[in-house]
Amino acid sequence: MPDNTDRKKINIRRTIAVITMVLALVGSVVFMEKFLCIPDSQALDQNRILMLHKEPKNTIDVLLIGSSATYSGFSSAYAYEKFGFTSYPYAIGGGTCTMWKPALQDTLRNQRPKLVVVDVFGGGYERELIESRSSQLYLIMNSFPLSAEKIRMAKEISQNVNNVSAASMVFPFIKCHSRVPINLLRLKERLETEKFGPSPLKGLETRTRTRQLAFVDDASFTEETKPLDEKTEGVVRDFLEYCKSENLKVLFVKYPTVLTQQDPDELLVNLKANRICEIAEEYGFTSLNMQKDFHKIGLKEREDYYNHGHTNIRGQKKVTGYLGSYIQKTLNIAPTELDDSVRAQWDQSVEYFHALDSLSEELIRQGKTESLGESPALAADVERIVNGESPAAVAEKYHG
Amino acid sequence: MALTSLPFAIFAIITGIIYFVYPKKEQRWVILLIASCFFYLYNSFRYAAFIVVTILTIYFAAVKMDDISVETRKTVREKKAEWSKEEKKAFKDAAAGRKKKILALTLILNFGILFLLKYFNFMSGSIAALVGVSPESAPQIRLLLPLGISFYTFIATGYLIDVYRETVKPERNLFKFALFVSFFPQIIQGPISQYGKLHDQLIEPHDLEWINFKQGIMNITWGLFKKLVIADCSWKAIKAYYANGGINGSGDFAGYGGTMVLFITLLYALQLYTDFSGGIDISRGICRVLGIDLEVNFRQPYFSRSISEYWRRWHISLGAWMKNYVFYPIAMSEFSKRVTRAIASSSFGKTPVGKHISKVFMTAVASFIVFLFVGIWHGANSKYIAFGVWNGLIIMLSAMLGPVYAGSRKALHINENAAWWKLFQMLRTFVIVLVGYVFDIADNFTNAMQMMYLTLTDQNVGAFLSELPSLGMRKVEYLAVMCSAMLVLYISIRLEQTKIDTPAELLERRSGLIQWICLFGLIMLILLIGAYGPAYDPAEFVYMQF
Repeated sequence: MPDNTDRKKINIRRTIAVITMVLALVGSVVFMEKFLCIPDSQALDQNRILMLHKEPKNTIDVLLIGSSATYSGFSSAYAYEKFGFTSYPYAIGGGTCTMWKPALQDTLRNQRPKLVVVDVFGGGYERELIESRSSQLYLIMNSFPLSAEKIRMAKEISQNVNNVSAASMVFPFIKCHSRVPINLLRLKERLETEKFGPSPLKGLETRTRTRQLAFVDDASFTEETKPLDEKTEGVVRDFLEYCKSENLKVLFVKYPTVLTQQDPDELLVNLKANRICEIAEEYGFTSLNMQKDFHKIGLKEREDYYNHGHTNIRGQKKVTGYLGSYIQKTLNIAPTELDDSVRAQWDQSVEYFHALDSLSEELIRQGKTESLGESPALAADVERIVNGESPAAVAEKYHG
Repeated sequence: MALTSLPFAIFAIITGIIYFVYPKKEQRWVILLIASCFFYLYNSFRYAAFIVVTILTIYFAAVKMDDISVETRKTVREKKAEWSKEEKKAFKDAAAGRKKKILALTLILNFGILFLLKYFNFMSGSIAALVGVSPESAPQIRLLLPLGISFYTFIATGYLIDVYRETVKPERNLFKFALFVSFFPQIIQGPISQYGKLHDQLIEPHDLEWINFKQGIMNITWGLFKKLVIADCSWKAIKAYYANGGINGSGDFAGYGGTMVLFITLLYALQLYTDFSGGIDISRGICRVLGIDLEVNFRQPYFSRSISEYWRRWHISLGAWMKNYVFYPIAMSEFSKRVTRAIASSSFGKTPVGKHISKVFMTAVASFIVFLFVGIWHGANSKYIAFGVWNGLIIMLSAMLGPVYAGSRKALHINENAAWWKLFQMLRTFVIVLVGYVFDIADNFTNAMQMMYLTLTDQNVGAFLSELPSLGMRKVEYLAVMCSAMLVLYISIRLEQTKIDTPAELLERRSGLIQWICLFGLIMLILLIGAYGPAYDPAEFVYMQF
């Protein structure tokens, strides 16, 4: 029989073992949740959000929230060059109106933008679609540190989206754990992204092609509206209330797309988007429907789009020029005084944008369709062009 | 509150903490009773009255029967000098008759409740169909099954019969008895514990002991692994098989071929074993932490070399219950003895074959009846009855044709201890078990027969590979299930070789570090590839529905 001292030692050893085990498990889960839960298809979106949080505190003048139309339609570096204000797209492919508030809350942890630009398109979808899209929300929640605010957000989201539990929103690992073994192969890349930033690409994403005429452009802009379903309107109004309570200046925009009768869903989304602009105005917020100004912006259906819903880098420059001008002249958003190091970063981002533009043009010319988005690998390629290599040489590694 | 859910984990942890910190050790069983009541009411509040009726009727019946026995013995002792032998016998017989009446009435009441809730609709529909009336117009009871009704009814009635047979003394504290019937780790899916083995353990105070804690946690983890990683992932494919209409197809889907039926049957065998035994491992693990040794319910059943051995390894507690309370009463009854004597005394009974038949006939009949009951116990459906009949027939035939098999083995010079022969027996038994499972998987008896026909006549690997994606599982999921199944197979072989009951005990032979690493690895596997969270439709334990 062990005496008391021995028993005490044994108990201490066992307690340490149990605590070590629990810590190892918790540590492993936290690590995997951070680096290995997000599917590859969302890696660029995840990088974009990650890089936003790498931006120096309170240096973003304009925050753009929305879906793929936002990141393909607006270039922060180009807007900075043209108008002097800093901006960043908090944009996730397929994002709906349920992501607006969590995305804004996530951003407000580090930034206090003078203007929030919201893409209304995400509020115009059918209710079933809005309720079924949860991966975008997991992406946002994965970025959000554990806090009472996160738990509150999770509860709210679980009421708006189907098949989502509040627990899995707080701990996305519960939902995404099955991806971890697959993502293990890309751990090195994910860790490199974590070390990278602030990024000179400023969240930009584009696809290197011009539009193939799969659709006939036979529909035009209309100011007609279509009512939102009750639940979606609730989500929109809740977001508007939140913006009011935070005393934020908000601009609702509709990015211009190529309209066609062959896509009645998209036409319906446009009618609902018009309704969202109406609702926003009830709260005293401004809206800008760029669909109406399609030709004024100078957009060309074939040249400036990579598909009927998204502008390529050519269209992106035109939309950025138009929207940037509106932000600067109509909304009077003045650029924040940046300190030298931050200004240097933004100046560098302009160089990177032009290099990326030339790379994109080269790839379009060569007929190589590539998704170019926020990642250390793309930044490295673009840097080669900045350092004097020709876009054609860099384009060689891309196969389309 | 499923055994694998977070709320259950929290509930179990809180119960454990309160149990061990409660200062009055002799009253700790009260904590278990309160926890069991809470668990039952939380899960089956609307139907709690049924378990209360079972507890009260069986408690009072047992006490009354014991009172009669005590009173009888006392009176006989007191009247020893006054009464003649015949008077004593008459008095004892009268007392036994009263006890028998109480037993019969209580059993009728409790099995009547079970029958009404579980089988009435099936019987009513079947009778209606037989007399040519639409089953839909037959009278129906619109009630869900109370949680664990088959389990607690069998647990409680087993106790009552033991008290009747005077093999156990009745519990005179109603609340202690209520704890025995409603003990939360076993109420969902067993095991069907025997009073003599469980009751005292529940009442005795236990302290938290390191070895119990460690092995309990390991058991729980192993159970979760089997349930969440193998059973629930496999269930995804089986569910898709059903959703696509099985062999008949649905909508545009033409229906599956024979190779897919074979695959689904194998997957079902894996799913059923890991689901049920996983759940039992979790229950036993919780009990182990509490210092309670719950009965073993599985002993590597797929390694059985005969179907009767299989039923001694699968759902052991149900088999034991059937043996004690159905098989023996039939096999040892006066009627059986009369039949045996009649066969033995007939001219057929004088022949070598007749001698054998006279010895085993009633045993075989009793076995058949037992398995008919086992089938019915699983549910009110012709497929379960067919499942029982199939198993019963095989066991009956095995008993009757025993000498023929022995003769054939001898003629073929088969060494019974040869490894290949043992393996052949295992495979043969497994195939028989699989046939039984086809009844389980099928929608009804006819469908089961079609499935078997298809399996025998339509083996096409190419068609199977093209059908595989319709089961909705990714390659990585198949790989995970396969690797996990291999791990279970390896552990099962080790358990079989060492004659040890649990992987936790197996690991005790290894160093502390190895034990920790294994536990960590197992938890990580569950966390990574387990079927939990909103991406999965959580599957209830299969045996919960029984």
